[in-house]
Amino acid sequence: MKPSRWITWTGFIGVMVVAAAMTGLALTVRHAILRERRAADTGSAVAVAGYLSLVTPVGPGGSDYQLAALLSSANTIAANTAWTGHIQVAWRSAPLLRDSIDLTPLDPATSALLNDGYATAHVTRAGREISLAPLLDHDQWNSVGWVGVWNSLPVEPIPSGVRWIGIMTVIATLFAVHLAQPGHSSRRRWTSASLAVVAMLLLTLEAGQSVQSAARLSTDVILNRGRMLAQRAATIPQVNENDIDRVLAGARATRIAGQLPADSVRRVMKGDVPAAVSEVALRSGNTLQFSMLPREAELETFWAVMFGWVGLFGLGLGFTAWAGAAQGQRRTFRETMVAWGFIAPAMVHLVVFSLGPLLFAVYLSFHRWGLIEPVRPFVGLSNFREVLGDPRFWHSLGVTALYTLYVPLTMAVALAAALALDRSGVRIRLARGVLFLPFISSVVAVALVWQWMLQADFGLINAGLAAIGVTGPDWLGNPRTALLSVMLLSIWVQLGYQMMIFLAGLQGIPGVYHDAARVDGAGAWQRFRRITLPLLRPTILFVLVTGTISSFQVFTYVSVMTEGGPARATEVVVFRIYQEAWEFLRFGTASVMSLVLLATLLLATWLQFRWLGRKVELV
Amino acid sequence: MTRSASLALIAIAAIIACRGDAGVTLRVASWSDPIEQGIEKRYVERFSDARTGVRVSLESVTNQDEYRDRILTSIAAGTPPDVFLLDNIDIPVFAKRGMLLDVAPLMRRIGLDPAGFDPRVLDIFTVDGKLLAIPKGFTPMVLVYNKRLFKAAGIPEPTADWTWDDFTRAAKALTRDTDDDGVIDQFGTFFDRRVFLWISWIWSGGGDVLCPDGQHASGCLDSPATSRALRWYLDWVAKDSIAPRVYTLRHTLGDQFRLFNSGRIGMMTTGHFWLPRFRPYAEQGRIDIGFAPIPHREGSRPSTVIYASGWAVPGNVARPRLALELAGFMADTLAQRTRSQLGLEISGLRAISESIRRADTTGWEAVFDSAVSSGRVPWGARIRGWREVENRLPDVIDQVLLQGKDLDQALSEAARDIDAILARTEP
Repeated sequence: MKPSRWITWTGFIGVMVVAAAMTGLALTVRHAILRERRAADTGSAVAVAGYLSLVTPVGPGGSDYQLAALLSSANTIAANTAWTGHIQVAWRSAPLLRDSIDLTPLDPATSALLNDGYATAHVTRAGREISLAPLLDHDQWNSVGWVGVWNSLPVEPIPSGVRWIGIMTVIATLFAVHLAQPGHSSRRRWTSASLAVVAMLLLTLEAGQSVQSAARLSTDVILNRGRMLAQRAATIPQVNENDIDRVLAGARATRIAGQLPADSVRRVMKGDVPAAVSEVALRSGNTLQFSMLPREAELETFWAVMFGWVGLFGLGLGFTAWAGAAQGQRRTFRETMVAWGFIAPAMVHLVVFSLGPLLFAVYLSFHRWGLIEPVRPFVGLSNFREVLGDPRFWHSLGVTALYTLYVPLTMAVALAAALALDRSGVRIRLARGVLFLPFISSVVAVALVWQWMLQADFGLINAGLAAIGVTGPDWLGNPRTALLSVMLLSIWVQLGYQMMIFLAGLQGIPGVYHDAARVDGAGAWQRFRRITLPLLRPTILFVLVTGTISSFQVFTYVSVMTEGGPARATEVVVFRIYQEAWEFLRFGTASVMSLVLLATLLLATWLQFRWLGRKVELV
Repeated sequence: MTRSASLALIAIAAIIACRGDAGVTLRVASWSDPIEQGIEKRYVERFSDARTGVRVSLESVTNQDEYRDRILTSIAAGTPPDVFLLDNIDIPVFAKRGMLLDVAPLMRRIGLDPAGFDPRVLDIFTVDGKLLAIPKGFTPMVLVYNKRLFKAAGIPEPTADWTWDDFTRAAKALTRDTDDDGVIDQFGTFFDRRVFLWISWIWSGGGDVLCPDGQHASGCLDSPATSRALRWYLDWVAKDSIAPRVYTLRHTLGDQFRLFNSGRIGMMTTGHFWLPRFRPYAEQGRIDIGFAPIPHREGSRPSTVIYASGWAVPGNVARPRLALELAGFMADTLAQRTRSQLGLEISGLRAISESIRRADTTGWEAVFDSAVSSGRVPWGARIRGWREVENRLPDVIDQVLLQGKDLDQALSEAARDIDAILARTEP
């Protein structure tokens, strides 16, 4: 017997995945902490630029500032002992304050960005990232200089979370190498791997806390500095109180009458939205309140990425453990790998386009999520309560269920057509093609044509009825016939497709059964009932399940032909979901509706499998 | 050199060539029909020509719903267009959280004089003292009528102070079975369940769908004045039969235009935006049209709604100044004149709207202009939950006309629902 290698290639790949996940985790934490530092610096730079533009007198004959006054104002801030970190102010390209790091000259791209007048920029000098904000002229149009800020947050060489991850990366990699070795018992192997994943989760939470603290500190720095500068500006008689908002341009400013300002940054709830607020006393006696979403409440993406790394770590470790166990079973191993090779593309598609959105919908269902709203608070079960208590939603679900009845109807007609066309010949093939054509036609075009045909006064259908002396109804205008009209269209479209599936099923039934039945004297009906129908059961199940699912997802016909009317008679659930999400921008409740639809479909499919999914016995 | 090496070199050269393009590309998004797209294309090309290294990419969508989805998605994805066309109904959504640049203090910098704009249209785009878009154009809703049908029926044409009674009398006279086959084939007017078309009728009857604070409907939507106005409107089909059947003519088919242009409808509610639909027929002599303000109920003040759109700049674009300059260019004198001359809308610039009105020999522009004086800011420009309200209101019409529900009960239920909608919508 050939001895096993110390580590196989697959084991090595698993170890690499584990190491990559750990490294990714460390880099994510590092990036998040740097982002918070950058946010604090950028917020400070914008606040200083806003303050300088408020308090510095305009030079003669223009909107630029008096240089001496600008220098004096900048010096006042830099000399403030409460101001941590570094600051540099430049007029044109000339620095007004000198610091340990010389920022000039700026590269052309950064200069262009700042000269555009509004955008902030970042440069790296002496290993430090420096945030720059344009200093706008008195008219807030042209950029006349810039403000650079760095080290607003206390600097640690390596944040504690990152340090721990670094150590753990080495340990986890060695552990993975150990798992990849042959000779461990299966139980020991998987228990160790599971414990490692739990340890990784705890580590992730610890590292996340570092980021959370940095985000909180960053919010405090931005609001405190804004408050300090705005308060100073508010005491200067020449400063217009209405312009003080510009000191904290990223925060929402509200003027409150008759309230004394708090002297520190507070966390409050505004409705169901968390807010960090700081306040400034105005000369008019009012209080100017700045509020912003605390940065620590905006870490959902960070957490999602972190748990993604944990997931990858678990996968890598599992793969490593499996590779170690599979050493010596080369054939099984190879077959498994080949199988996964085939499955992988479909798996990736499924995860990216189905599972991922599904998980995101679950996430959305617990949040008030307005697509373009910057604040998307967690609202618990409130969306569920709202949707489940909304009679209009249940109505749309009922309409959808009613609409679904077209599926068995279509199946009956399609089966009859398949039986009639289960022969060869040019005409038969032509007939099959004609019936299949609607299914491959543009859905919108088909809906528009049917809309015309169903038109009450000059539509083709009513014209045909009029020719035989019958007054046709207002098909799409009457609540009693509107849904029926959409169902008729759906039958017409789906008929050809279902017929083709049935034809395939029919042609899969061995002719010998029918021949034997004929010999035994069975008639056509008996052969159909006793042979064709039972043997078609898998096909019927397939058509029924897929047909029901697609019927619950109907949207285009309703959107084009009826827009859910009249009197909401055709307001199917997907149309309702679309309206809720895209018209009313309530993605949270729309997601809940989607989840209820999913649950309904799962239940319907389970019932269909239960009733029709029994195996066919060919005796 | 091998073939693969050559291909690699070509690819590298292509990448370098692309990277070497130091120019700036600005994106402009709008919903517009082919006529408008032609105008917009011309103006963005001029802007590109005037600024070295600046290229403008025009992203036009014909369908307004699709356009809205695109804009919202691009903003959510952090890649908003540099300039986009803002419809008045979306102002509250974007106004919240300061998503759009306040253009008011920068108008002069981009060569536009705020005083030159019609204050009523500026008012639509102004929220909390901030001007959220540069007005492109606007329109009040008015009545278009077929002069020949009026003459044939022997009735006087609408006047500036027409009342509802005058309207009903005229509509009844215009409703006829022209070929004596027992079927009415010419109607006095056209009935539409869409709120944007009937809100002016409710206002001109002294009613309203929301209370003045915009925070609730109870006490206003279910008030006697609103009920009376809506009942009168519903009677066009429920009692007077002066309009075709309610739901037979869905807007996607554009049948109201076909029926009007073929002389089968005497009067219909319209805005300036539909003028290009009538004008070709009028110019060919196939139809003779006139415009009149929305008639008002005796004792109520004339009132109509003003709809507007404007060029907005998102607050987070990379080059806001350049974007603002482009927005200003899109809304400048020449662009507005071209659009107005084509009849697409009334220019937001007073000098242009006045010169267009003076040059107009049909008298149409004068009617639109006089209607503006009784115009109001649409609810959609002020209320964030308006789309939901607008979706709920036609239910009242359906319930009464199709399901036989009592109007007052339907209004009372709708008022309760709308109160709930507005209560859960953050102001």
